[in-house]
Amino acid sequence: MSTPPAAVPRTTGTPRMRTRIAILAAAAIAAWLLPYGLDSYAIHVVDVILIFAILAVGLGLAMGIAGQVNLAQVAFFGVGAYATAILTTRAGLGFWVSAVLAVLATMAIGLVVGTPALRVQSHYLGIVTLGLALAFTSWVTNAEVSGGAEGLPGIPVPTLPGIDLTSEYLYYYLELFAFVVALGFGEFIVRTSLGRRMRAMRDDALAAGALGAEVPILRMTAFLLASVYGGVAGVLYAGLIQYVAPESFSIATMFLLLAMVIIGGRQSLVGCVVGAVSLALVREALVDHPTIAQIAYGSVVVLVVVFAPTGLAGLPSRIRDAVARRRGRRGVPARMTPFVPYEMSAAADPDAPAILRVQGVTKQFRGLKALDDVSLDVPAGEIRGVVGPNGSGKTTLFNVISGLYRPTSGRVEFRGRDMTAHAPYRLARAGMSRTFQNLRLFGALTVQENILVAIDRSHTAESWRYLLRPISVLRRDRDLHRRAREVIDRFGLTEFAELAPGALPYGTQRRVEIARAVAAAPALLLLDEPAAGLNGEEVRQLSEIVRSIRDSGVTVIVIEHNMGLVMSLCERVTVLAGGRVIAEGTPAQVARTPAVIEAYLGDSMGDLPEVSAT
Amino acid sequence: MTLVVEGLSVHYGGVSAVRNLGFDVPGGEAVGVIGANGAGKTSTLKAIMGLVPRQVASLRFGDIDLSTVAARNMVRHGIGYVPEGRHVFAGLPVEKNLLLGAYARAWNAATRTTLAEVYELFPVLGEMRGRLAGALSGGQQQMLAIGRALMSRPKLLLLDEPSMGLSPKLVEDILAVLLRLRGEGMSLLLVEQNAKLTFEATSRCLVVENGEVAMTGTSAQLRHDPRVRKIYLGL
Repeated sequence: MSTPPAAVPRTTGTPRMRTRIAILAAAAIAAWLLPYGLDSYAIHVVDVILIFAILAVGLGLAMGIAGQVNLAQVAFFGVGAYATAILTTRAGLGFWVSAVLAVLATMAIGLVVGTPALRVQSHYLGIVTLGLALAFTSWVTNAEVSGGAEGLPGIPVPTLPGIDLTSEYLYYYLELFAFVVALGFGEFIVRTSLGRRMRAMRDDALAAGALGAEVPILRMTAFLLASVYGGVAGVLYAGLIQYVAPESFSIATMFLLLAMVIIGGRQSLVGCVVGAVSLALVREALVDHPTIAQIAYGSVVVLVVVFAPTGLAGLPSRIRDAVARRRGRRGVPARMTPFVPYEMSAAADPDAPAILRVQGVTKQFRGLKALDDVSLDVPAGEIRGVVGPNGSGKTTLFNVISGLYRPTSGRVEFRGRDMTAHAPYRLARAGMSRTFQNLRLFGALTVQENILVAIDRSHTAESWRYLLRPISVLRRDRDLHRRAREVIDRFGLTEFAELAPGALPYGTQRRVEIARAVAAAPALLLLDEPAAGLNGEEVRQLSEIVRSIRDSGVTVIVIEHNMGLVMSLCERVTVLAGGRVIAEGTPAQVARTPAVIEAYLGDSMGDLPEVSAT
Repeated sequence: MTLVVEGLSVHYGGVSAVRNLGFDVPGGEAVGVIGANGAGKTSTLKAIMGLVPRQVASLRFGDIDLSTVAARNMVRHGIGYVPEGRHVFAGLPVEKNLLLGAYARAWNAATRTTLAEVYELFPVLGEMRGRLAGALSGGQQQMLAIGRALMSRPKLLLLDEPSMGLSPKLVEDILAVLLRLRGEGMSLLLVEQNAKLTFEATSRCLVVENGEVAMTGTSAQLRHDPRVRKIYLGL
């Protein structure tokens, strides 16, 4: 179970696949036979551990995969357990009916707890969710319906025809079934479209939004998933213990859960399970020494954070890396291969209507006027250059166009519709795609997964398919992989497909980002300094790539300082200085304008290298 | 003080980025390093600074053996570093960024003079001294990164792509600054994609390919080498 879930399931890796199946089979047999070797106390402990494992997987999905700090997982657990208890003992419903209602109630609470995530993130979100969890504990301690501090006894044991679930040995198999389904479903999400988007959002919410990932819906989905896992664990807990009391759902339990996820390695669901099992065992070993128990937990967490920041699940790959480094094999670094041009699509119509109209846009940052009444029209099929001194507002203009900034005044029309200050993901879905000056690749995803996130145009709201039509999800994912391969091969990135982008040379990362932006199949592509950090030959290749992208029917706007590139590539150039348009025209016209020479070019055009037009 | 590098190798995982590289930067000289993306230029600078695991036969600066010096102490031996991608402290004002550059020095009249000198070199930083570094434009951040490195009064300055993302005019400003620093007797080791800038700012250059030195020569010679012109100048 050592393979990180980040690895893409590959149909080709048969030897690896075989070991994986062997490990899974061994784990299944061990899990099946486990109760035969345990006494009645030990099986009870195992039953509780399984419940914590389900909880940890849910927390891992929200925190590790989607990056949403959720300290209310214990409250989800509590809602599930209490709802079951109240519905069975007070309302007299059957166990399974109560169970279904309890999970639904937990999901409703999950949506409520998740709402703050639309506004706040990271530790702020942690504080808010922790507050909500505290509110839950204090409510159940004081409310009459929940039995107050004494809790609610007398929850009936669930019934299954032919199986006596009062035996904790047989209850184990019920839990095992729930656990396997929960983990399997979690892994299914992580490895396909929804999980990939969540991980992209975790790494860089801004870039994910600019690629069309519906960030607000994804955040709510993360909480919804966490609450389902919490609810299921709560139901199982109520059925196992047949008694609920506030202290089982206290903040101490929450931190235990958090420690499990951190120790196991939060970016891997299997890691969360490993963490849950190991910390629960440590807790069991220390149950007779309450004085040192807290210190021991604390030490374990600190040691893991210091010596294995990726958690226990990350250890095998860290050890592999360390061995490879020690051996110092002279492996061959991956290489970029040449770009394969697109087929020419229909020639651009010179009288095409403007695909983008920016009208009188002003953007004010406190005292600073970054953009001052900027207007420009870009006809479809053009390559437009935007140049200007550093700090003249070029990137701000891109941010306004792509919806990251709301302009102080003015409007932005895209494809004939007013799209001023629409959320970036809406603009992305309307056909706009961009790169970023400082590179915003998803660091914990591979190059291939970066491309996959962009290619995937499905709506997150369609995620019900995961429950009802899992095969169609898998089929679609296979299709996405095939198309991602095509983009990767076209951009000459084949050898980098399985690598993390962070370790690649700067110029390669730039190419990956362009490939990712193009993979989203835009009508308008915004490139922010694509030639930064490229040498002469690489700039020439870039020029070919951009021209070929345009020839495939995409309008391109490019911010660039490399005047050689601008002169040879762009049909028209807009010059910004101090937030205003100071010139617009063909590159040759603009380069002769005295104001442009003074503000921007200096005397650098004297011996400008001519980039041969290819 | 001469920087001598012999037998420098860097590998990440099983992949080698720099192989057995050797060169030296004599005191007061400016040496440029050019090469394609992924050739190992940035890795070389990081390895000299001790920021990545490395193997090295000999790494000396004057009489000091740098091979055992931790990255955080490099600055105390007179080596300044301008990292690729600026890496300014975005949440601190410009002046605090500069003062952090003098962290290894005593806060006295001499340091205050250096601060004034940096402001004189980059007047725009003086105008923006109270603004958060994260709110500066890319070019201003680049100047801040150079200014911050100068605050330690280094004898040798390592620069990683100082021209990246700068307007043509600012590239000339940076060139003027580099020439001025050289005139004041500072040694420079300049890693660049902008070969034109490199040739004008340095006296000698290395061309690095696949982690090895492919060519060396004076900047004037390399500038007229047909292969260099094609690949690195795009001519």
